Amino acid sequence: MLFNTVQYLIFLPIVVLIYYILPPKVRYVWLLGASCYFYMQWNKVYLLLLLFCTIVTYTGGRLIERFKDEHRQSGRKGLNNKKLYLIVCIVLNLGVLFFFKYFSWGVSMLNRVLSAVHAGEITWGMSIVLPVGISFYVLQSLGYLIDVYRGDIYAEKNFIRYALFVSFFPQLVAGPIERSKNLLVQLHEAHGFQYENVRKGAILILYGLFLKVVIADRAAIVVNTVYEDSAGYPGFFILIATVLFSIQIYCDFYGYSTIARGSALLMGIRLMDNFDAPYYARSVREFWRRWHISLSGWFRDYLYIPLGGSRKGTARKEYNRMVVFAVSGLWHGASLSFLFWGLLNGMGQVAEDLAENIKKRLGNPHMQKAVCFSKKLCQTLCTFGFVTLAWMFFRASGLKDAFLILRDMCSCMNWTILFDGSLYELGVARGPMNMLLMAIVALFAVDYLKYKGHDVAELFLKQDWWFRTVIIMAMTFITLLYGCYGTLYDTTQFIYFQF
Amino acid sequence: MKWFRRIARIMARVLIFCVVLSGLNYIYVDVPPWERILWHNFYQSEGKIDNLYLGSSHVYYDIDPFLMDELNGQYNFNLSTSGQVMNGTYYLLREADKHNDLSHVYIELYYGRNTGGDGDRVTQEPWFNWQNTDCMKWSVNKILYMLSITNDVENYIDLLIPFSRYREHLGDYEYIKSTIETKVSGEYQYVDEFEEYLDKGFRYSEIVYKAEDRAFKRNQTLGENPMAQSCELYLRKAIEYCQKENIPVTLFISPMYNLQPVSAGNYDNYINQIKGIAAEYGLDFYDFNLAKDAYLPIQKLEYFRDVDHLNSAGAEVFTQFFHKVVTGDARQNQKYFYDSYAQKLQSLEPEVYGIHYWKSGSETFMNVASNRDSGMEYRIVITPDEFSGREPYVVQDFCENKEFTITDGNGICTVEYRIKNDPDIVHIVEVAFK
Repeated sequence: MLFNTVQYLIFLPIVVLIYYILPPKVRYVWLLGASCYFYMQWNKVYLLLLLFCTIVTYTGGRLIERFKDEHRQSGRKGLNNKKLYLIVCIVLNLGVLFFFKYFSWGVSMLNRVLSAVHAGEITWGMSIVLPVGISFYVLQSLGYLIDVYRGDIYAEKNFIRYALFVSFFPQLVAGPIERSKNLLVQLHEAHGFQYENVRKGAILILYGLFLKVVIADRAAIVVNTVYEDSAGYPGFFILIATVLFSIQIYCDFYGYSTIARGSALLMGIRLMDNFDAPYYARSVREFWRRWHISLSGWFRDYLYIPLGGSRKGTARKEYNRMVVFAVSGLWHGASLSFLFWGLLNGMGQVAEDLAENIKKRLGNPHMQKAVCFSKKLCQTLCTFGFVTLAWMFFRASGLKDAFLILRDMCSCMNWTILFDGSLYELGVARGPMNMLLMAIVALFAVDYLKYKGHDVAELFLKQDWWFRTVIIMAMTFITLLYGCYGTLYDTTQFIYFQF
Repeated sequence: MKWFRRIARIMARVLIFCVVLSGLNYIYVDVPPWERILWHNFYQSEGKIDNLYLGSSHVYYDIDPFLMDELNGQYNFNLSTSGQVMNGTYYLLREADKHNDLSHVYIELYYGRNTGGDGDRVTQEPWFNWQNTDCMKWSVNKILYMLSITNDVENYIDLLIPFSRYREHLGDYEYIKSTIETKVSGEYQYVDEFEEYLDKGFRYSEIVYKAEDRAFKRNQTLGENPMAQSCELYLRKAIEYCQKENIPVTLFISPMYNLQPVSAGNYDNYINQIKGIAAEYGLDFYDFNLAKDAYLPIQKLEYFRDVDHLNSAGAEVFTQFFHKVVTGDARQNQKYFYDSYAQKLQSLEPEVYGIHYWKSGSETFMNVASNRDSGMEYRIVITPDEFSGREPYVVQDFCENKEFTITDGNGICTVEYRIKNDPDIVHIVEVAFK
């Protein structure tokens, strides 16, 4: 069940309505049932996998808690057992993730090596379908386990509540990867009906749908047209398509996260914001603090810091960073292009660090110079340019393909296509294309407010009733008029569902 | 007070939403002129209709309600719409019954609309149903009809927000202008160069089927019990509805030019299935494709508009015979018809009706549509389209083979045929294929 479907728009109000009708004590049971139903719409069998990961981490958490007490009483033995259970649970969970996500790829890579050395190939006929959301719920449950191990939280005793924490439907299939300290705690609370939450939740859902069906799916038409025939659309066509892909992937994922936040808020549950105006970032490092925040935070807390973080010198810090981004790339997909994309982002940050160090050494440390607007703009554009270039490797169907597209992009300087109407021949007619551009402008305007620290939804709700009505109606009808939905279009999946 | 204000504001927004939605529907939804005038006419006839004729375009071309009025002295109306599928028939029947005191219902069962689609025929090509729902007045019946159009929840949006189906015209001001002009003018008309809407759901056509057009692009071959399950379900619902409301119902199939039933493979499979359903409910069923030439001499090009629709001259001939049959004694009627389509073909003189064909990739698979499986010989010559620059060529000299494959997409196919034992008399059929 996708968020941008009629099915979900029927499912959600029913879930919310019954949620508030039921007594607070049993609401989490209802939410778990609804979440299971939601997940089963993709694949009923894979619900067992979700159950497996839930049981493993739940039991692991309980055992770690038990041995934590033992550790307090008897010292070393308890600590060893605690660590052992943590390792067993991590291995089991990551084992599942590796098998479903990387096994086939691993075999094919191995075969490549074997064929290169003229050794016999491994035959593997089984086709593995990646369970939706596996990368998200595995990380979320591992995060919980590590938190219990570290003593940051107590292990959840109620299995159903814990199962809901792992499978809460708004964030089950594509995050945000919630922390137990935020979500699990909220699942203990009784959330009474609050008009303000419903109002804000509805606004977030509407805005999320706008981002997804008006911008992301429309931009996808142009991107797919060009990327599927990059030789036929060289130079500026690819450049424009790549820029649009940057917008597409942002609106696709941000749209999903916003609908997820809005859906949860209808039930009084606050999920974390996964994006914070990332394209206003002035450095790659800042971009990653603003993009997919829940994943960046997860890698920071559970991988980068345990590796040593920045505590062991500059070289080790940069090494750790590269490791994190390599893992992040592979987390997105079992492909060399994803790995390269991750490493490219890591290298960008390493380069920024080096440049900063050199600048520090050369410059006068006592002189504090205010950064002017033009410099900020330049930094923002450079960061956007770098990130967009990296997205090319993310979008291409393989590493080789990405370099071919890059070559095609540099093959000619046909900048005149920007003005001669050629852009209207990429699958999106003049009217919808103009609307797409206007919607992108609106997106950046909203993001600017966010960048300046405003809670845009709150700010919006403080406005005059008429103003709000005009904006809501405009957003609704632009979505209905220009959105990609219905029999004229294939409902496009959210890009991040594949991870 | 706070809650009252909140509810009032929500209601105000809902109202604004509905007003804007109606406005967009008004400027974007462009109902085909035929359905627009038909439904307008139908609601104008409220309370008058005695005999109702349901079905696809076959009905509105073939049954002349004015002639029928004269013949039976009642008010006859064709509530037939392009491509009407069986769920449409059922809900249109209910709509007509709600607004009229019906004395008789006639349901036409053209095989092309009731077969294929892997059993689920009624949810395919939804626009044939939308054109009705866009014109019908709001009622529970309309809502149920809308829900029957799709089995995919995702398509509900197309029904609830009709303008969303016309979004390819976004920003097309000429289109919007013409839609508004049509609606503002309040004109209800359907006029073509050779065709016209003549009230009561009748399309008067002066078009005559040309001999060279007898190349039929075949869409299916009928197997055992070929009627789609969903169509059978709604046919049964329609029959049961009529029986519950004590409205006599008759099933029939309009005459087609022989080329079409011949190209359907075993057309008798379809007839037998309908016969079975009719017998189950104790209904009269007449397939006028089985009518004997002596009683219904309709198999002439001058009576047809195209391969499966009659023109006004044909409608006049057919309507009279139709009236004679449906008002006659069922036993007596048996003499007018052959028992099966195969029997009819055998009883006719050997003849080629044209060709039927289908395309796959660059290949065109052709069949000679004759009324004999053996005993006839055919010589085939293909004259490719003049733009191809290719010369005419002989596909086969006289032989019994009826199937052949060519690589030309357009051109003229000449079939010379003769009876195997009588090689001196040769007939020629020349048709254009595209």
